[in-house]
Parts: sequence; C-alpha cells; structure tokens
Amino acid sequence: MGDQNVIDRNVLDNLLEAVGGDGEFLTELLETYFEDTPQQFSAMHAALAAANSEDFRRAAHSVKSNSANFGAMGLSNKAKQLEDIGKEGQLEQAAVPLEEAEAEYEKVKFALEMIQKNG
Amino acid sequence: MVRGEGTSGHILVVDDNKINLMMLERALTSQGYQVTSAMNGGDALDILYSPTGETIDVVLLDILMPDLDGYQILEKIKEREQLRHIPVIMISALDEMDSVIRCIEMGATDYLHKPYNPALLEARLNSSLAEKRLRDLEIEYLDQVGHVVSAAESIENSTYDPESLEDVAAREDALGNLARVFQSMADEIHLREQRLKQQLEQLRIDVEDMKKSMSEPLSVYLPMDRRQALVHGVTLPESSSGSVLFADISGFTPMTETLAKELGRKRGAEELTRILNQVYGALIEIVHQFHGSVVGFSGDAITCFFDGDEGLLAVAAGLTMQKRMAD
Repeated sequence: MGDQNVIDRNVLDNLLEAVGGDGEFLTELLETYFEDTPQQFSAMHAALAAANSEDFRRAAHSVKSNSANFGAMGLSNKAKQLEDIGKEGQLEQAAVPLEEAEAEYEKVKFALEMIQKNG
Repeated sequence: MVRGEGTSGHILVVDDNKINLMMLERALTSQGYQVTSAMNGGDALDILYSPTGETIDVVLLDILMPDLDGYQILEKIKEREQLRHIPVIMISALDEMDSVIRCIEMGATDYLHKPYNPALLEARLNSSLAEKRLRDLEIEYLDQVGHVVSAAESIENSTYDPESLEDVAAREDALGNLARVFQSMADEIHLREQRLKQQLEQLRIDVEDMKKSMSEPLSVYLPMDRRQALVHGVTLPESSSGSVLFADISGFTPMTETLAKELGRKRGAEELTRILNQVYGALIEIVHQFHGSVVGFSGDAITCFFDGDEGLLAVAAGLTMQKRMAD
C-alpha cells in the first residue's frame, strides 16, 4: 500500500520546512499524532453512545485538523464530514463515516510510518 | 508553560490540540518570540489575569475548545480594561470563516488558518505587535500626561515631589519639553515655598523669644547701681530705653485747703501727711507690681521709670493707680 493516495507529500514537505527541516521534531509530532488520533476516535464512540454531538464534533475537528497538518487529506475530509454531523446534531448518520475514517487512519498511519522509515 | 525567551514579543498560544500547540511553539520560538501556552480556556484566563498577563503582547486563540471556547475567552479579554488592548489572532480551520467573522466582530484583530504558513504567521504577528506597541506608547503617553496633571495638583496641595516627573522629563518629544519646563517652574516654586517656610519658622522662634523675654521680671534688665542712680537723679553715662510715668493726685490743692480750713493748719498738715503716706505706699506697690522703679516724689507727684518698656507697663501702672485711687 503506497502513500500516494493517502498522504499529500507536498503538505508533509511544507510541514518539514515549517519546522526548519528538523526530522526529530517531525517524528515527535507524528508520535503525538499516532497517540492522539486513536484517543479522538474513542472519544467519538463515547460521544455517540452518550448522544453528545458537541463532544463528537470536537473530537472529529481535532482529527480533521491534525490529519491536514500531515497531508492526510482524505482522512481530514472524512473527519470534516464527521464534524459536520456533530455540528448538525445528526449523530444517527455517524456510524458508517466513522468506520470509514478509522479505516482510513490505519492507511495514513502505515503510510506515514513508511515515509519515516524510507524518507 | 513558557518556552523561549525572545525579545521581539511575548505570545500567548491557546489551543487544546497538542499537535497544533507544539507546531506553533516551535515556529514562534524559532522566530524569536517568547511563548506561553495554554491548552484550555481556564488556564489561558489564569495566565492573562496573573502578572504574566501584563507582559503578553499578542494572543493566538483557537476557536473550538471544550469548556471555555475561543468566543468566551475573547469576550472575557475584551471586557477587561487591562487586557482589551492586547491583539487577539484567531486560529481557525479553512471552513470556519463564519466563526472568524463573528470573532472579528467581537474585537479579534486577525485570523490564521491551519495548517500554518510560517511566513503568514510572522507577517500577521508583526502587524499585531506593531499595533500593540503603538497602543502601549499611547497608553504610556496618556499615563505620563496624567503624571504632569498630578504634579500640577500636588503643587496646589503642597505635596509636590521634585522627582515625580523624572520619567516624563526624560522624553525627547513635546511632552518631555513641557515636563522639563514645568519641572523647572515647579522647582522654583518649591524652593520659594521652602524659603517662606524657613522665614516663617524663624519668625515663630523670634516671637517665642520675645514672649519669653516679656514674661521675665523687668528688673533683670536694670542693675541695682543704675536703679539707685535713677532714684537719686544722677545722670546716666549711657543712653537707655524705657518709659517714664509722672502721676499726681487729682484735686490735691483744694483738698489741702479743705483740710486746713476744717482741722486748722497744724492738724490739717498732719492729716495731709498721713493721707500722702498712704497714697504713696499704694502707688509704690503698684509701680513695683509692674516692674518699675520710683525715681522721685515732688509734692503730690510721683515719677517712675520702667526700664526696657515701650509704654505698655507704664500705661498699665498708671491705669491701675487711677483705679486704686477711685476705690
């Protein structure tokens, strides 16, 4: 599975440039992303169970924002869709896109790890 | 948490997203800014309300946060006098333009989209910092105008402190010039006031001394040999100041004639001598009471000298003599 479809390398390169080409710091950011994103998905599931659309929206917003930083535009767009669902209080429509977003995250994680490994 | 000790500005970053926070801290410190971070609204307000808040030049504020969101924090910043002049740049996603417009309407200075473009971040920060510095200068200017006004009031209240305008006088603009001129005039007034106070104090001391000398017996100013010389009508070799009292008995001549007529010449003369002795005794007592000396007697007249007196003691003695005679 290549990263071409899940990661926009230009965005990632821009991020690396923005942090002054500091690869170690980029790794630190990625580790935080890998740690934080599953927590946000858990928060979304909890919010769904509690029918709390505001918490759902906020967690989706976080995934959307962080994924965009690393060029994971597909996941960012999917998270945006989830954020809108939360914003409009239509949590009954959330299950399928949430499942898709989680699957997309697995691809993103793998792709980013490959980039880290291979440069 | 504070990161970086740059000198180009102190930025408070408020974002609940750890990755955003890490990236902003990194970008800002590498651009030379001092950065303080808060991951929620409560922490942000704690920082802003603390003494650290006074050093914050710009706030970078995320909109979507749990508990206190960006709107609420912005509202609290703008409702507080000491904070409302701090520029606030909203951090937003591209699709949050409605929220950004709302924040600008609430008083936010600018906005910044995620992910950040470092050049745009620096440009917007510089613009906000320039605005903040201009506002700081304006506040400082108004504050220093207030110092000049207070100094003017303190002159009226006599509480002027010559050093109170040092800061304003150090300015090189028109206000500094005004302060220097004012300071010079105020110093002159202050010195005059000080001199007047000293003169008043000296006057008070003189009056006290005078009162003290008045309460002392007059005889101390008149040595005994000098007093005897006066009594015996000897001319004094040096000049002296004092008051002389001449007094005689009103209706003395008709009284002698009446006594001679009624008691005969011999008995009348004896009675007259008795009366005169009684009167002189009383008059001498009065003269001494007012610290005077009897210089001599002549018929029914008495001559007294009040050494150092400017007339008051002599007059008082004379009036007392009149009263005693009337009694």
